[in-house]
Amino acid sequence: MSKEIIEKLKAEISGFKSEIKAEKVGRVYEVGDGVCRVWGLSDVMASEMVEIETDAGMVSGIALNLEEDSVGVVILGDPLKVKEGHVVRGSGRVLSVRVGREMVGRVVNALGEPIDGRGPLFASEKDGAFYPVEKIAPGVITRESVNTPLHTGIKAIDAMIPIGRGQRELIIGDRQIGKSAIAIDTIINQQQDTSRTIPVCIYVAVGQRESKVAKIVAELEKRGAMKYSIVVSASASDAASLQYLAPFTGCAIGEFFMDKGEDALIIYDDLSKHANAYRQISLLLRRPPGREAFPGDIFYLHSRLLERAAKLSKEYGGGSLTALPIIETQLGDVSAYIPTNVISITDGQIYLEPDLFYQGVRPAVNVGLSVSRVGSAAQTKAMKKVAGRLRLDLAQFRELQAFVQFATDLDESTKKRIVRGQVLTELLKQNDYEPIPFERQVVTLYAGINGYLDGIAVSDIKDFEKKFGDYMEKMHKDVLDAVKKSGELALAMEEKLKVAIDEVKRLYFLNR
Amino acid sequence: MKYSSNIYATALLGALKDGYHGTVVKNFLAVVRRNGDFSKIPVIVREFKKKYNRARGFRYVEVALAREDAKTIGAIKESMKLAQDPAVVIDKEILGGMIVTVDGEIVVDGSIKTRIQKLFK
Repeated sequence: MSKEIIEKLKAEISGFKSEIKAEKVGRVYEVGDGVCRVWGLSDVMASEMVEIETDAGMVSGIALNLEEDSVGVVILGDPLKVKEGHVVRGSGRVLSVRVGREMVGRVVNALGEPIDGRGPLFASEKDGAFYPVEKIAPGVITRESVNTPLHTGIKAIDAMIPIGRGQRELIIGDRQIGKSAIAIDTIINQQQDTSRTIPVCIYVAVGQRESKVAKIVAELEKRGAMKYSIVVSASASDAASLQYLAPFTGCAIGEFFMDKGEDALIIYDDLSKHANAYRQISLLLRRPPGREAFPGDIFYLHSRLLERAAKLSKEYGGGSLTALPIIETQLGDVSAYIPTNVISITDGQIYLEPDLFYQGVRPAVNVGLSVSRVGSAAQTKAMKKVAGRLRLDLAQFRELQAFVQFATDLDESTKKRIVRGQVLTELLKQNDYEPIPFERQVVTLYAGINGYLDGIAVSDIKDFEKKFGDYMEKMHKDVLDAVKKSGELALAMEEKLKVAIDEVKRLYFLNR
Repeated sequence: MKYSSNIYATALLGALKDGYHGTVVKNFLAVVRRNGDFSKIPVIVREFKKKYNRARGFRYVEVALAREDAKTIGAIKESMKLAQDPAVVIDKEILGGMIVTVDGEIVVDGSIKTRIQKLFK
């Protein structure tokens, strides 16, 4: 065996041809805070990867600032290894990451390197493909309209703020309000939506606590979701350069699958921290600060990232990349700089309100302020049937909510609307990590909007819902399967459903 | 008004076109300080050196060798048609061959160390 290895090495050495060519280099003349300034490198490209030759080995960087007499390089590796006088060489290629199917189920950093301790991603140098981190978004002609639903498993969202494959839907709200929970539920729910292909899910953690990322990975593994997910992590302890790069790396991974005609879902958690990291890098590079000290191209940072999420037409493979960016607001201020920027870029937003959260309405989705610009084009016919009236009933309830405390002094129709609103509000509440398949959502909401649950106490709604769901699974699975398969609630199935609801109600009151 | 390092270097080169003059340099430094650009001096010096060498057709060439080799230095001077002798740096760590650096920016790396590194990459 060792003889073979020796022979192989001998052949490689004798066949080795080394090219000696002139190359332009630079030298570090200033370094600090993760950024260094380099003299020379006169033909370096913008965003070109560079290698800094330090005493402790090569350190990577990106040339971000091309100035008249120097180049500003953001250091991607350990900045403490870089000293004045070190030679810097250009790599000749714009920053790219090696991506491939081998990444599914793994946790990687912003450079696409594995950080989960499970060994290298690729078995050989030839595996995977290099995808540029910065890429121009698909053009108008290559796209088609969003027409396939992406079910989140959350009733309030799938019914009233439907998301489609290829859409960008913003999740916005204050801290600790359930933004990440919506994103994780969406990932977990994909394995329940078996009528469609499971999209590859990419969760990009930017500036998060490592304990939170570990908890999310553990939860995804527990629910069996890691087998189709990839986690890209640039935690709070990572350099600002890595936090800046992480969403682009995640996007490059998503584009790999999209270009193969597959569906992918990417969650950016969160872009507020991404904007802060970019502000830090820009200030260190001495770029002129603008509003709130953000650089002038902060809008372009997010617009070019989010525009890469698209639904491609069949001629271009028919793949899609759905983006769910998350933005954290301060005290519910959606009119701040970064939130308004991202709201104007995305195809809708899911607004989570603190007041609703503290009232116990979780997920705390404000249906009035939330919107999906794709709308019912991304909804199944079955869901459209139940969702239309749901929005109206809830809107009427919101108007009458002030009168709830005076319920005894109101006319019958007003009382009915209030009861219906309370029932539907209770029905839309859902626990974390418990996404519901869309066919179950349809039958549950059907019961709610058609008044079958009006006679049940609000405090018993959740219990009834669970029992109803279990009953349908055991006794009327054909109805659920028909809805799942066809996406419609046909007349015959609707009749069966009505009978089932009556039966469950009868049994429920009998057993109380 | 803010001037770039390039402009300062060009101005100094023009001021010294008749030869080195201590007073000119002193005045130049005073002007730079008055404009609040004293921190740019290292960059101005570097730019000045580049422009000075270019104006006189000089090229600053540095050759790193593993051991003294006057014959190699002579060959380099002849092939590159240099007006002056290249600067020589003895660096045993390159093991053999040479690394030629021109004006601090262009590098031709023919060292044994780099070739071995490429072999094992």
